Amino acid sequence: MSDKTMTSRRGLLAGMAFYGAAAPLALNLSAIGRAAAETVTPGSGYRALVCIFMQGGNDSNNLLLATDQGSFSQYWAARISGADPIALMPVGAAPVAIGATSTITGRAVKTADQPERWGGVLPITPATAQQVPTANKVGTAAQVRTFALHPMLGATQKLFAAGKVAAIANVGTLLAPLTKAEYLRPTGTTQIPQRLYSHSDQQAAWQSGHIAGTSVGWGGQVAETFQPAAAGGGDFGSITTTGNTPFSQGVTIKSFRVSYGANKVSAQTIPLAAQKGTYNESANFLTELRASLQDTSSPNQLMQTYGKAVARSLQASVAFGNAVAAPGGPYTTVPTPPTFTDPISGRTVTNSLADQLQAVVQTAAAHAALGVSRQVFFVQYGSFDTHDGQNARQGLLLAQLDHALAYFDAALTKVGLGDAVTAFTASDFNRTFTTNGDGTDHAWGGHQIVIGGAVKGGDIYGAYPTLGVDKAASGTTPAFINPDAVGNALIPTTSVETYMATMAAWMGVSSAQMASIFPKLANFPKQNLGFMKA
Amino acid sequence: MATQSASSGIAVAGLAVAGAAIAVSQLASSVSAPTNTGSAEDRKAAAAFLNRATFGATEASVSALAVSTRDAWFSQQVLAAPTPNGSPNYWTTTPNFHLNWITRRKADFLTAYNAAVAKAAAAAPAGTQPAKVNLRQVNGLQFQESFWARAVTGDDQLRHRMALALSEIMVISMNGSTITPRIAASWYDMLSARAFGNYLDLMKAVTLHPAMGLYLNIIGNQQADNNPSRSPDENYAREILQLMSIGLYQLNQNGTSKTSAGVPIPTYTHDDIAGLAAALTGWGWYNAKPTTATFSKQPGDGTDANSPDVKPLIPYPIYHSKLAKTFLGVTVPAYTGAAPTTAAGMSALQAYQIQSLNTALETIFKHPNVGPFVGYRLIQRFVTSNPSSAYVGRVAAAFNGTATTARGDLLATLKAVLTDPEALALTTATSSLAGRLREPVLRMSHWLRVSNASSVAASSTPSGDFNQYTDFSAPTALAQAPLQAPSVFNFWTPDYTPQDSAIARAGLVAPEFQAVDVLTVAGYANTMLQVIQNKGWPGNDVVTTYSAEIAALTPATATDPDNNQALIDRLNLLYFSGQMSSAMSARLTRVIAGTLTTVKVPTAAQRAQVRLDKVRNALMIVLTSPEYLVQG
Repeated sequence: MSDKTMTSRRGLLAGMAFYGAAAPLALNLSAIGRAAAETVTPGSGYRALVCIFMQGGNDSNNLLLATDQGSFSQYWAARISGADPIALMPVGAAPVAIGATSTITGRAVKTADQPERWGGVLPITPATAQQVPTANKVGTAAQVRTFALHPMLGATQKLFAAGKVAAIANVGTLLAPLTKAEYLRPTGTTQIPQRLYSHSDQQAAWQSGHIAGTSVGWGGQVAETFQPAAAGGGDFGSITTTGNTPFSQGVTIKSFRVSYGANKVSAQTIPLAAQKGTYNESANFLTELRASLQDTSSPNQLMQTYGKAVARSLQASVAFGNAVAAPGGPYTTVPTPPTFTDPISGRTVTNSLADQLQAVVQTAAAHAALGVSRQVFFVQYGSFDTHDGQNARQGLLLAQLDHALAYFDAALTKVGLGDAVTAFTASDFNRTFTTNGDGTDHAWGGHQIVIGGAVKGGDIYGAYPTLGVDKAASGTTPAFINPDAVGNALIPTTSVETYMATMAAWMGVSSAQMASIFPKLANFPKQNLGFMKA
Repeated sequence: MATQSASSGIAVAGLAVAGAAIAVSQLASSVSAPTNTGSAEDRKAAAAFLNRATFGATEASVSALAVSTRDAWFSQQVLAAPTPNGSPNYWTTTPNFHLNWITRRKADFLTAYNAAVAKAAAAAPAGTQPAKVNLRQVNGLQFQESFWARAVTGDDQLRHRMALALSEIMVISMNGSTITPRIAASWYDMLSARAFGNYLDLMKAVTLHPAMGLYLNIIGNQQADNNPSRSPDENYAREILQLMSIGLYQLNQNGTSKTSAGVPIPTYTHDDIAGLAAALTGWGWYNAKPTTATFSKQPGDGTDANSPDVKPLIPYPIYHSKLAKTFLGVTVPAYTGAAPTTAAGMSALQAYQIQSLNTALETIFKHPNVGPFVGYRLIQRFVTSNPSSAYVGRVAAAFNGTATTARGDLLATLKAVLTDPEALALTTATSSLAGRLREPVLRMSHWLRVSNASSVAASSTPSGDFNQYTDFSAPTALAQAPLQAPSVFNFWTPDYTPQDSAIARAGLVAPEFQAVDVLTVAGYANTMLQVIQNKGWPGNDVVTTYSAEIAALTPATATDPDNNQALIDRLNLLYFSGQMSSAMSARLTRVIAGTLTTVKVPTAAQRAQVRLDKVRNALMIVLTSPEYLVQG
């Protein structure tokens, strides 16, 4: 018996102590079942994936930018107009003080949410050079593309340079590789994803490969390959800080939702021990109440489903609480996120993402006591649905991302899990390349970032697309055709499934299981994007 | 005449009070069963109906309906007021219940502040600064107060329930938006006033209400005519189609999808969205003297229903698209009138803008999907998660109109939802997949109503304010609070199905389970256990005495044993609509009989304490049981 298994058993036994000698037999058996349910090869250590879902559709045209002259001029033309232009400033632009006038835009800076106020986008240099695509070239000579991050991503820029952050270009929902010609003139074999541009459907597609109505996603399925529910496992393989989202649910395992706040991850328990002054201290009554809460004897399936949910809550929540609150455990070892100051308003505000990531690190740090060596996490924040007021809203949200990622890196390093936990961003969709005046609308392919010691960082994976919107020829100006875009939306060149599968492979999902979790993966020429270390 | 009339009014009021006193004393002494009305079967049917149509059946409402008709009940509900015994036809005369509540609470806070300032000044020793006093600001909880006051004590139960249902179909939220408590209250007033009106009028009011204007960016949406690098905002155009009217796929009238070669047929393309977005450009904040500066700048809190922050949006013609706009097979032709550089030109362009909006909404309204789309959602909100296609078809037919009702008549639609033969015959025993999970706020309101709860003066709050001791939308509380959904997709979507369940395996749905997880089930149970034990909400502003439950238990003479079965019968009728299972009945019998005192010869006070504990124990079992939580 390995030392790790010993630790797991101890954690579970501690969990039982709450009930004392009167612990129901069923509870004991199920808790022991959990410890025995792991199917990870001994010695492979702990690994976890964290999905950071940017709820509402992040405008990743502003997350990762191509800054070579031809590309940036397309970006600029698309975004500098309107009542409240949303174009970020070019690399090297100095921040313009409020009251001064920008020499770049000629606009007076009146408020702190104008991009002029923030200075230029932050340059990053990927290890692998990408060529400027033909339509974005200035002249005809080969040119190497240059890149930058949103001005609020200063810490992320440093993590990129340090090799801990990678960017993935133009990822989106796809069923098979798709060209512009195929999209515009589909044939019988062309596969175009359903319900593009719809929040609910594209959130589901990003998290599961299916449109809304699905209840099984990538993360839950990855988790259950290691802790199958059939073996009594799965209670703590998939952890979420939010409600039921497809990503976290497996075919048989369900996500475990935790509370966060006051710097402590916790589970909600229903106190059913006799206690004077709360509710009736009669042991008989509490026995009846416990049975009634989780009653599944009704033939009605809705009643049964509810009863099972309560049963699971009663079983797992106490064990979770004991694991994370153990003396000398994560509450004391995991640092607290530093105060977050909104760079636009200057005010100290909460950073929900940092708080959620603290809960993630605390849970990951308690993995041995929880009896798991593979976990998936889901956190989300937003809204990134910046149809209007984009400058201020996205600026704040990305500043929160930056602050949270810096904290996450530091906290994982502190508890020795820097190489064990990988976080990645995901979102409903990218947004339109052009402005609607002060915001952007729903679009398709976009850019994401991955962070962790196991990431082959400092690089951009996947081809960064041609920028610009198609324009007919006019006078002597030739037509502009963007081979990577339809209207205002990018056609993804990397599928979400490949992006997820790359990380699932790092988690140790076998190739046989890979095919069942990612059924469309075989449609793509590349099945691993290569951004994870072995 | 006037004098006589006034004096007779007093006399009547006096009688009514006396009558109430008699009823209470009868209950308390319980010489015989309370003068119930209606047969047992009629009472069960009434309870089942009221548990769907209201915030919870009560003894009084069941007794009244059991000897009346549903038609009479609907007629009475149309006129009823949001307060107890309020003026009839409230909603057509002064439809500002929730907004007025916010105004009143603002005044309450100012009064309290002034009193505290005076007190601090008096307490400060001469020559020293008085202690600083904070003026409490109105926030979203004040809207919640008005919601609960109306749900627990208001007469207009059906209208309020319909407004809640509509608020989950046409969703705005105070979470993550700049929607103020006043704007939220005004929105809920609007839904209430139009709850029994026409769906087209409702869509117009929704489109031009500042709440939706803020939530889905109708406000400030500008034309981008001939501007290749800009396009109108598509947010509302997309969601009004997807979530509020026709949905993604063409429907048969029975709610099933139309298919072509086995594939559902989409209702619209991105071109329809873009055309509709252009048709909806140019609406901004109300202002007596609108300028480009007032177009999208949110006004501060006003003082009444005529203030700009809550008035319907107005046209700003220069921001409206003049190009032809095509959507759903209809084209609004391009504007060809005079340029808006003159008053006449401006007026012509304004008329054109209003016509664009009307054409847009009327085109959506005429789409054949609207009947089955709205009907299915209303059935899910009131009756069952998985209606038969025939049931959906009958409700759609009611929506589509008859010889006597117009297309979009919401009262006719709602009657069809609640009185359909399938609804009336449905119980959770009919089918293993029948019913719906009760929404958390409806569970809480049910308990408060059955328990005759009221809001009384507590240490820090005045009587009748339904002081919110917590934010019920927290996952550790109810995980639901009206107008506080996490997104435009509400707390749950109509197609949600719980993973790894028999419901999912049957290909069916259970929307409310989207809010069910390990955290929220414990949060709900703990919330109910706490308030039941506490005989009301913490803070002791919303309280109950369980007088009717205790009366049911209390025997005719002090030497007789408690009438345990009478309590179970009451719980069965009001919480389970008379459908309580034998297992639940047996469990309650054990729990109530097992709630004892160890004193051999208990005093009257000790016996009263036991009765209170019996009631609380029984209620804890009932309100947290899966059997209760699924409404038949």
